[in-house]
Amino acid sequence: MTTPLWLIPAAFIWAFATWQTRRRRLWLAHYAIGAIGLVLIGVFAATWLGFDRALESAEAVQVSAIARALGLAVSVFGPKGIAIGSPGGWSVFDVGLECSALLEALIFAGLVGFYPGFDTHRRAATVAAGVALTYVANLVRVLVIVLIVAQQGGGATFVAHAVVGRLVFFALAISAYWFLMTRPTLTAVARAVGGERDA
Amino acid sequence: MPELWTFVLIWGVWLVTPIVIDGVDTLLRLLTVATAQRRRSRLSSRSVSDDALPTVSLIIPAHNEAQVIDRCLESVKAQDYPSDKLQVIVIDDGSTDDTADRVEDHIYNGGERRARTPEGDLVWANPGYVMRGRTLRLGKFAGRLDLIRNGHGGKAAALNAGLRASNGEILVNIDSDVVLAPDCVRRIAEEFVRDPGLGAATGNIKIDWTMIEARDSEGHLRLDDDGCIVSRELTTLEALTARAQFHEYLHSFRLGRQAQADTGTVYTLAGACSAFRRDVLHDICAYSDRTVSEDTDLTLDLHGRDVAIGFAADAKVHLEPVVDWDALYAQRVRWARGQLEVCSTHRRMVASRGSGLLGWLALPQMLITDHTTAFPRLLWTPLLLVFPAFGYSWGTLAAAAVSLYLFYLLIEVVNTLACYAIVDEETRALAISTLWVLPVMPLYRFVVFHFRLSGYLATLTEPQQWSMRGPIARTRSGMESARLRTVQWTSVMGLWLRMAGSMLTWFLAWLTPLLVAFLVGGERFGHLIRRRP
Repeated sequence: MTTPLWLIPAAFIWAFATWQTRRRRLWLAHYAIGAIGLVLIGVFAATWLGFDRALESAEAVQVSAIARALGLAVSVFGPKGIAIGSPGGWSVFDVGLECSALLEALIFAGLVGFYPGFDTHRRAATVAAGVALTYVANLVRVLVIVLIVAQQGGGATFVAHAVVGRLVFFALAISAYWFLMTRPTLTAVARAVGGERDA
Repeated sequence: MPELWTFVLIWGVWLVTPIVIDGVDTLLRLLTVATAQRRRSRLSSRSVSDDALPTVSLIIPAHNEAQVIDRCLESVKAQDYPSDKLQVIVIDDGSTDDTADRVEDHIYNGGERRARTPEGDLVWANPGYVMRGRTLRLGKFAGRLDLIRNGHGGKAAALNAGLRASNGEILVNIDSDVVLAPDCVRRIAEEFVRDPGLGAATGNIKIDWTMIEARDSEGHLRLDDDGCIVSRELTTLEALTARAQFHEYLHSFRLGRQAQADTGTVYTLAGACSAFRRDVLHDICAYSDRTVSEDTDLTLDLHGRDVAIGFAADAKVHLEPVVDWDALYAQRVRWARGQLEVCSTHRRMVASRGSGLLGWLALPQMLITDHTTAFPRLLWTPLLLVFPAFGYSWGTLAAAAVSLYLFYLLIEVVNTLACYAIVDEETRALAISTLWVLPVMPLYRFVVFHFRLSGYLATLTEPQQWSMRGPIARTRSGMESARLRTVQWTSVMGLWLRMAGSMLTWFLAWLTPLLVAFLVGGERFGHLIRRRP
């Protein structure tokens, strides 16, 4: 990939827009610009540096190892593929950008990184926890896909990937957002309002 | 087509969100309402005689409501409720306009209003009030109307003052900008008579754009040739906004509140109209001003004490739509803030089995829908525009966006059809006549979604306040500020240029004679200079 020099001025423009919207207390604009900019710059920087391919390879290796530990006939195939043995034969599942959790992890980092409800320490800890949980959720998703394909054969790849795996990831991701964003927000707002009512 | 499905489903983690959450929520709501409809029909058909009706205290807090308090009081005075069983208390919350004077005028003088006739004359008139485009005139009011001046302590303090002054068995709080249907109080009272276990109930709030009164340049009412109030003509955008809110409230109350009442999960008794048995409210004792949503706060308090909360579907309360987008922004920001503050102060109830279905299902579901998944949705919508950089075609992108729009349009259509099946004839006719707004509803809700999100962020960043400046006012203010800065900068630049020009002029003024002298008598000057040691 050619060096994306446009990233540098884009980053400056993003930083300026984020600073100005915060200065003017335009919170929604600040939050959206900050988070979206972080995601875009992160994705393009990651693909430029090859981090996405490294992540995809790591996912393939880790899922294969876990699946083999569970007794499935699975092995790594190529740089980021997973070969899955099933009653109907072998299927190959390629871990692409959409299965690498890179985008979802960056989205979480952006949403928490610019969330006004946390102090710096909490923000850093929550970003770290959320990124880790997103990665783990994605591992679980890919593992579920592998399990279904191993049981049902290659014909089930589409449903396993597009429906079941996606729903599993959705449930885990929403749980992460609930415990790392919504519940702490309730605590923070309660403190600001003046405590809890006896109900 | 496979690429489309790949895009929609593989990339659809946040497309899955609306389908799973909004779609499932709609289905559950419809099922709940449908299964309970038959039982409700049986109950509501039992008539209640005047003798069996309880005494009612109608409590109306008001702060700077001079423009709207008249029509509210006229609709109250028009209630077909036994006047000896109806007590009306208006609490003036430190108004700086004529609100208190208007109320006293109703108490002592019948509440005539200054109005402009079509001939241009200014007259005192009792034109009644407008409801659904009809002017309703009233006879003499035989009930009791009292005014309490309470200073400016806020809405919660005003409501509490009204509660202390009340003596009815049933307490009904209404906002001062609503218009009650003539049988509203009766329908509310009948709910409490038919269901002895009912502790509180919310009225059925309906958006009515005909309530917006036309006024002349001096703020007086305008009358037509029959002496009836003229409703203001709305602009296209205002008309669209009004009808969008009509459908929004129709779905929210007729389906949403009904389903909540059927499952015991009502989490907001509408401030526009809510009713309580006296002993229930006095047990709680007071509205609180800790949050900006004292009505929701009280509702969750009632749940904490296992008070049964219902929905009086036949008790119709008409509310003017908010057609100004800055005002709509402020309203939705306040609602979002109130929701978050109340859930925070009752967070022990959230996801708690001890709080019944409300605690372990309804409150978490509401927070997940409105808060938890709102933030990822905020990002995924604009990020969709970047997907072509990852190899997806614009056509696929457009197809996915259209699919999502059609999904939300389907929800609107299904909800409207469900309402059509259970509402009265008048509402049905209105729903049919405003069907044209349904294709715009997903866009309307998309904009309002961002208003609410702004409210959640403001809760964490801004102090508690009743009103916030809307995006249109801020944009105008920002552009005006930029214009003034540009003018200022241009003026400063102009000043510098003028100064530079002046200096140059001054310099040239001195230099020119020297130059001329040098050129004309240059030899002599040169000789003089050369002769100097």
